[in-house]
Amino acid sequence: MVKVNKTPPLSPGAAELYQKDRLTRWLHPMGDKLFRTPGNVSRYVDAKTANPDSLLRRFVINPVLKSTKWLTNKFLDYDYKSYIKVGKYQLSRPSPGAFAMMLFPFTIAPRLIQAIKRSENGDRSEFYDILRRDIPTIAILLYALDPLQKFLTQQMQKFSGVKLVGDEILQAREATLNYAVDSEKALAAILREKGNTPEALRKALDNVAERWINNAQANTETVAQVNKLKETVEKMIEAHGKGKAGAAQVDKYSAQAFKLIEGLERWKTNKLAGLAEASQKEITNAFPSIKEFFARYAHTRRLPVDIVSFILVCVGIGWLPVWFNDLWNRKKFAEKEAAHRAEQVSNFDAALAYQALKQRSNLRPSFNVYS
Amino acid sequence: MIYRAGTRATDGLLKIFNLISEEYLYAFLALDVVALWITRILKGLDRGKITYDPKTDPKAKDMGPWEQLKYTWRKNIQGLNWANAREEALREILTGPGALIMPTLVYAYARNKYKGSAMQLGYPAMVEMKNTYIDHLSRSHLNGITGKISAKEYTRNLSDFVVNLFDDPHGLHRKDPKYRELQEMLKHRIEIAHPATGQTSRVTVREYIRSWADEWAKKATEPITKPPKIDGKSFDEMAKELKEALIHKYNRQVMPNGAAHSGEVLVRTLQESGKGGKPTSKIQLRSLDEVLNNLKYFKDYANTVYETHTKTPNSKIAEVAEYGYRRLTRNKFVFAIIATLVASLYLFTLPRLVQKEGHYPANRLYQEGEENAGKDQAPPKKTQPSAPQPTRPVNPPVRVPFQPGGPPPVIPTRFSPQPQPFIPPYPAPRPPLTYPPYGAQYSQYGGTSPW
Repeated sequence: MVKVNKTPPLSPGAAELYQKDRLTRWLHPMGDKLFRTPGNVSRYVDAKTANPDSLLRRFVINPVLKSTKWLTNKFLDYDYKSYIKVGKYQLSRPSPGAFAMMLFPFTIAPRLIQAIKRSENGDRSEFYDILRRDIPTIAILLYALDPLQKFLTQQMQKFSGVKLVGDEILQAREATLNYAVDSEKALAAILREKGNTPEALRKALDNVAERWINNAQANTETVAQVNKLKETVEKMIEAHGKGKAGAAQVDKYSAQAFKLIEGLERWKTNKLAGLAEASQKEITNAFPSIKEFFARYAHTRRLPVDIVSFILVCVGIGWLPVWFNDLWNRKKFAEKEAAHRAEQVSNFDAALAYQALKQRSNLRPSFNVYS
Repeated sequence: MIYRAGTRATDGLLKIFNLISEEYLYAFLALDVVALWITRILKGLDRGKITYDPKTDPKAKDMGPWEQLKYTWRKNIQGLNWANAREEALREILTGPGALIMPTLVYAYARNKYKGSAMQLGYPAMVEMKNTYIDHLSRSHLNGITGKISAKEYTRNLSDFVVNLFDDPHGLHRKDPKYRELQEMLKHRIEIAHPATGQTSRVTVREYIRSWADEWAKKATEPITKPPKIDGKSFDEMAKELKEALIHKYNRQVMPNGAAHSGEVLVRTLQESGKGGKPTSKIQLRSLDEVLNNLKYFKDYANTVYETHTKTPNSKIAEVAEYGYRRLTRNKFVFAIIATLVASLYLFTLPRLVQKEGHYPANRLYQEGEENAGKDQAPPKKTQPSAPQPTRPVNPPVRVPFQPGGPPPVIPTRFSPQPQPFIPPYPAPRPPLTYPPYGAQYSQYGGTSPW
């Protein structure tokens, strides 16, 4: 780490620039403070919570500090920095703080105001409907998707034997890059990666090899090459089981497997050459990339997690709150209706009793029995 | 198995879900469409719908079975809660994308006004790049020049800056354990094809980075050098080339960082530690995508620095760079606030525009009664003096028919805002409990009220 000296006093030209630009002098510190706050709080909390030395710190102070960090990052971050290109246009992603500001107070409050305005006879059912529907929806939409996906992916990682989560979830392009067998060392590196299991490597290769072998268009030589590749990978896995003693052998078999994969890919490229586009597509589908066999396996293992988390969030924010509101309102109105009927019955019964009394006694009462 | 590799279903699903899981914006839009638009509109139609029963309709008795089926179907469609669905649809469709479109419009204006996209750089990255750039400028001979700097010289200097991101020419980090690793990378020879001739030649990574940086800086400073227009490579193509060299031809072949970090390269940056801490120069593993993304926005800042220095030639360029950063922070701050406010105000006015007053269509069965539900009721006009009338008949109050003198007592009930005359028949039989008409609406949930 190299310390850098402070900037010396301003030169006349620069001083003139600052002198003229009042707006920058006034607004820069505010902006600087606003944009730095989440980072400063995070660094402070990380430093303070690094080594908890007491139970109080571990179970009380640290959780409070960490939740402060979370709140600061989610509600005070106004740094617009994420953009995606949609054709010619750049779509801007509001920062978490801006999103929270837009969606919590500025979306829920006007809806509540409108609900109060249009409520009839003091009926506040829409008001409470909005509270029950929109607060969980926005909270889930903004804050639940990532943790849910991470949790489910971690579970899938244990189940599938493929490393899918590092500090963050391994993104699709990262998986494609990291798990491609594009060098002599790549296969060995995949096997040695913590989180990947030999069984997963075996299964991944089997999935693709099976399709190459069972394909009618594959010649005997190609089938033999694929079988040889399977044997080599098997030997590599065996050598890996020996620990450090087998390390050199793992490298050797990894290089051998890479050469076989290169040969198979070359065969496929030659087969594709000179064909029409439709036939090329057919061959590409029939012979899936053997170079990316593990990358494909990683993608497909993550797919159920993505689908499940997406469906869960859809149900959680789309269907569940509205369904619950419907149910809740039905229950409340059924209760009101029951009370109303009971009141009606008791009123009628009282009136009838009064009339019967009057009929029997034939006397005009001088008092109000209902008061 | 749905997730078997290579099947068409898997391929299609992978394409969709890779996009959704990688980019939050796509996830947000997908969830908005699927979870909020589709689900809520469908549920909105269902909630408070009036189910038609042909058995209770004398009109349907004379119809043939097919006619009756068609009639029932039509009646059931008419009975869906269209008013509620319309409200849900307008509200949800305008809310989610609106929260994205409003800031996008504001930033499009900002880019246009300030000729560049530097303010789109995230603030921590901006501070880091600015610190590194100022450090670089203060060490360069340009900082000593009091007078106009030629655009060519500035371009060369910018190229040096890009090289120095990946290199440590002054040997500042000799004691750093990563320094050796960095030097190994820079000395490594890779095979590169000549863009014009296609002939491959072996060059060191250092040489390649130098040639790439020269090309990049030349393209980045085009707004200030204003060369004649030639169709050259785009920044995206150049980024792809650098990735090919550093990741595929070095990282993937040498694998110094293990399989899970192939996309990362060693970069020298100046980071600030702690609150108000001095910037500290570090060699760190960084995602090359991130570095290239930062450079994409940084180039506009670098050009602004040059233009500002041209206007005030008696200032030091490092100081102008600091001033440019402060100006950029100001703009970033102002437009962040404006973008958030514009989007917030848009969202704030939305319910007033899309939701009718005086009516909550989701609860129409409860509020209006089944007979009146679905009939469009205009909200009470403000000019009408009387209080709004209840939309359904209320519990009739019981009037005791005879009272000595004065009006007869009215028994108040919670549901009777407007007393209505009602005289029970005499001798009074117990009236049947046919009111209010909830029995029918529960028929859709199995005939009787579950409550």
